[in-house]
Amino acid sequence: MSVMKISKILMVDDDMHIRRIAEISLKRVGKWDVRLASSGKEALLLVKEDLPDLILLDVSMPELDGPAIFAILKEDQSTASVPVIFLTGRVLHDEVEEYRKLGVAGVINKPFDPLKLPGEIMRLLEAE
Amino acid sequence: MNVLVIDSDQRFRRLVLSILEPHDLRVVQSTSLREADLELPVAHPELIIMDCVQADGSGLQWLKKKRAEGLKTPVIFCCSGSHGTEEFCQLIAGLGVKHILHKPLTAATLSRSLDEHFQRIATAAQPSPSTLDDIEREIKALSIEYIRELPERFHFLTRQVQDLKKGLAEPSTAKNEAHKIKGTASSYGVHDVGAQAVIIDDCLKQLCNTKTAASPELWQRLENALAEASRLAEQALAEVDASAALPAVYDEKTAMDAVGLTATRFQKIVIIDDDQDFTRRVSLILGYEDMLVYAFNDARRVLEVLEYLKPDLLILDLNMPELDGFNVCKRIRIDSRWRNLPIVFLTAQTGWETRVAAFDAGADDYIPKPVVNQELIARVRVRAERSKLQEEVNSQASVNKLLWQALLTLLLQARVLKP
Repeated sequence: MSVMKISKILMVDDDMHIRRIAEISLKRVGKWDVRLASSGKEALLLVKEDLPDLILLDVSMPELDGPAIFAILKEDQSTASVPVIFLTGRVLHDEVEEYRKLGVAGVINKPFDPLKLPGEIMRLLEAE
Repeated sequence: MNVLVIDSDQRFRRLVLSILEPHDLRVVQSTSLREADLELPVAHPELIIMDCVQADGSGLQWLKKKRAEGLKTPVIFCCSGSHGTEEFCQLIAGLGVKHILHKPLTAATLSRSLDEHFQRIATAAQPSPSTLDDIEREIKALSIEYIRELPERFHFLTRQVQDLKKGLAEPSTAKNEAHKIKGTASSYGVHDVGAQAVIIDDCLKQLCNTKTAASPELWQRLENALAEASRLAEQALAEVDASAALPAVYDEKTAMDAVGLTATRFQKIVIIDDDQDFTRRVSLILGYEDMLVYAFNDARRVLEVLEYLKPDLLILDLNMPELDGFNVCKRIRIDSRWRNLPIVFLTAQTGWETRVAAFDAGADDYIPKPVVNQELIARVRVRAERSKLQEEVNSQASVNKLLWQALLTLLLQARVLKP
């Protein structure tokens, strides 16, 4: 199975520190075009504006959390096909399984190694 | 597959452990060369990661001996930036050293060199080594900013937890902050802070979930982890400041820059006192006088602190719960490198017996508590100036040494890069 081509990534996290380190990692190591959103609201606007090839979505955020945003994206015909990877600080196996059942492309644990994040993303997408 | 790590520094061993474990490598830890002697025949490691300087002798001499005995295992050496030229010369003499890394290490550097060794570099999205260096530099710059904020974040957390204990705050604020630190610290290379944040996060989660009053053990665990995390955060900050003065990779220009930097640098003062309010006050007072003050509240790691910071002067409290100042001072003076380090004692005991005992233990000066600001400034300045004069005498020697080191490192890099 051929791996889908990725060039545009949207990264959603309310923690500035995560956004900064992820930006360097995705841009410089992954050589992808990266846009950042600090909330679910902002993310939904950016998705509409220019459809990304992949969305990295933090699970726990105030107001709209990861699963809520994911549900909205799936309901909308125009955004339903964009693969989503969850980022989470929770490492409980059950929770990770639950997210997988929702239909996300994968789950990546925080903290991540910025030098390895793009590789991990590629592996998840290949496994899809 | 086994990897043997020889280093007396537990933090370093833990760093290696955290990097290797996800690779399904078994890490055998030795705190000294003697322990390593015992482990080697049992563990049959595929790789040895070790410091050039060990608690019980020279790592180089040890390796030389082992090579003579027929040990073939590849070795990665980790050296503190200032370890001298003789070591590098000996390394060039061919001891089968695979990589040389400079301490303080970032997780990224170590993990890259291990990846290279085990050829387990992820196939996807692999940038070339030169851009990797750039990326690491960028990440390091970000990490410094992150680490600078950490102590304040833990102060905030500590205050929140105090309020929480008194019933004045909701656990969710503290929990969110702890959760954030837990999720980021390792990405920025501060693994040990991350490990404590995991405990803090876990305790706060339990506090959120329990309807009844939390057990004293839970509070204790939370407070211990907070104290440890705060200390590690302060230490990470001190290390960042220390490593900023000396670049990890030498080329001629950075070596020259480093020399220029040491020539005009501020005086570095380390203060060790268990009273946090007091150390904060002293930091403030001396900070106004353009001195760089590093405060520590635990004397047990004094030798490590000196090793990292190489201060111009040490201020030491005589009465601390874990170790008393006399013994700390004696311990420092045993090490020849710190024989000329000015040490100023602080104490509330004003009897002449104490003063005599202080000088006997190797102190250079003595300031009674409560401290008068002007006296503190004057005494510290005089002592530090005098030691700086002595240092300037030696500075020409250190310029030569740095330039030599730069040259040797270049030679060495050329060697390492060869297949």
